[in-house]
Amino acid sequence: MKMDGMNHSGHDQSAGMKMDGMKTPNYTHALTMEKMAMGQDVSGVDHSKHSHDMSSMKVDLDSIEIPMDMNPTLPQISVPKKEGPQIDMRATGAKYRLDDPGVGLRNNGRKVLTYADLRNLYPTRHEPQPTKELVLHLTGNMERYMWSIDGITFDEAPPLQFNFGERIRITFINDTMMNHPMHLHGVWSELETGDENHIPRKHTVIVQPGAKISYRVTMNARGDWAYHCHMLYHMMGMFRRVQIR
Amino acid sequence: MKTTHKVILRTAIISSILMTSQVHAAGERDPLLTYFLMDKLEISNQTDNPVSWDATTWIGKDWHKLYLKSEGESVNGKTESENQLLYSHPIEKFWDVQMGLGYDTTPEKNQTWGVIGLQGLAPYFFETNAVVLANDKNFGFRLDTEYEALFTQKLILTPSLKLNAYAADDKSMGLGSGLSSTELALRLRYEFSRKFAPYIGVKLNQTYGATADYVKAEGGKESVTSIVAGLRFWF
Repeated sequence: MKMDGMNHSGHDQSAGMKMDGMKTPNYTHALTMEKMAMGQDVSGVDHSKHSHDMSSMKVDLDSIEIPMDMNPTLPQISVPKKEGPQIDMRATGAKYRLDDPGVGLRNNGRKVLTYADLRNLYPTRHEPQPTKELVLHLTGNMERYMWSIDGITFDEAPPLQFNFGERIRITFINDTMMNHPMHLHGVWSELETGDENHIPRKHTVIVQPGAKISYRVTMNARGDWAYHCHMLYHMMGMFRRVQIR
Repeated sequence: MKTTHKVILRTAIISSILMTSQVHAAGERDPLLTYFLMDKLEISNQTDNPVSWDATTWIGKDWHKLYLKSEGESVNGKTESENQLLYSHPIEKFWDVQMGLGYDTTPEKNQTWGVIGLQGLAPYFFETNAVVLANDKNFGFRLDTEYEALFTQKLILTPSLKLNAYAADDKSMGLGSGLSSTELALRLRYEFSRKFAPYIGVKLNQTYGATADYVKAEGGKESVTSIVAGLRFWF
């Protein structure tokens, strides 16, 4: 893991990594992070965690946080993918950016709440671990205004099928230059913030441009559920049917 | 003649491959859309103030569109135009292949072409259109490229280059073989809204070789610099 003086979180400490120049992130230019993500992987730095510095670290068993990428590699759920003119770019260096306020809200002199500030009021450390991972790429072509998931639109996509009761880790990689708030109906989206003991529950999870984000879902509601980007103009491309049987 | 037929055959084969390799999108996701762009509608300061236009319209869905393009010039009731009816299909991130028919008119004569070309966004944001034209008498190549420099979100400078080349002389259409004509232009528009923008500009039209001879025979000049004023709008 290379450290280029970028955002280093406390979680890495718990993983026994040494680091210098710990700083809070500086998202100076509106699209800097996205550009980095769209270009090569400029550093191996993980932006997944809170931006607190070391002084705010508590030595408290409840708050020991496991870095997201330290999750054991889970068996991957395979989904169809398609390449073509419907995809204009790829995020080759997508990072977790939970503490990034997002384009237009950075460095505006105010405290902007981010996903990194979300904390469940109730302990979640006894929640079961996910057994499989589903990785989905949010894809599109701005110029043509075409939107898809893994290059495939809703009308061409088979449903995503899950067994009742199973716990899945879903990771989104946003290959586009726009935000996509992804809404999975019927079940909770439990956002990985790095704090295993206070995982917040959400309906809709925003995936920032060029970023990735992970959450866990227990498939505990039988039926067919809509899973889609909440932007009206993206919705019919970035849409999937989820079947829990 | 033999090569003409080869090109037409090749065009036909490429078209049929491209048309059959399609998954047809269906449903509300991919609505039927239409677009009309009057990219240029302008008057120039030359004798009798020629009016010229350049318009594009299309109807279609994400993967299949039908284009109608028209450009030309009218002076003293005499009109010359180049028109194309094209099927358009995305083949690359920023590129569409387009094929169909071309129809050129002069006050004296008309001619029809088979047309195949590429339209898209070249690296560094050059909006580009390159077509090859063929009929039983001639081959043509037309290239059109422009760049939009945004001084502000509303004040936009557009340098453009247009280039025409042909394989054979065709006096009745005023086309000479080789590089036939070029147009270099610089237009500055102000977008009162995205859809409505008046502009002023300057353009340099140059003809070469036999084309220049045809122009001079009609009393024209091989090199003409004009000041233009016009409107750009779309809906």
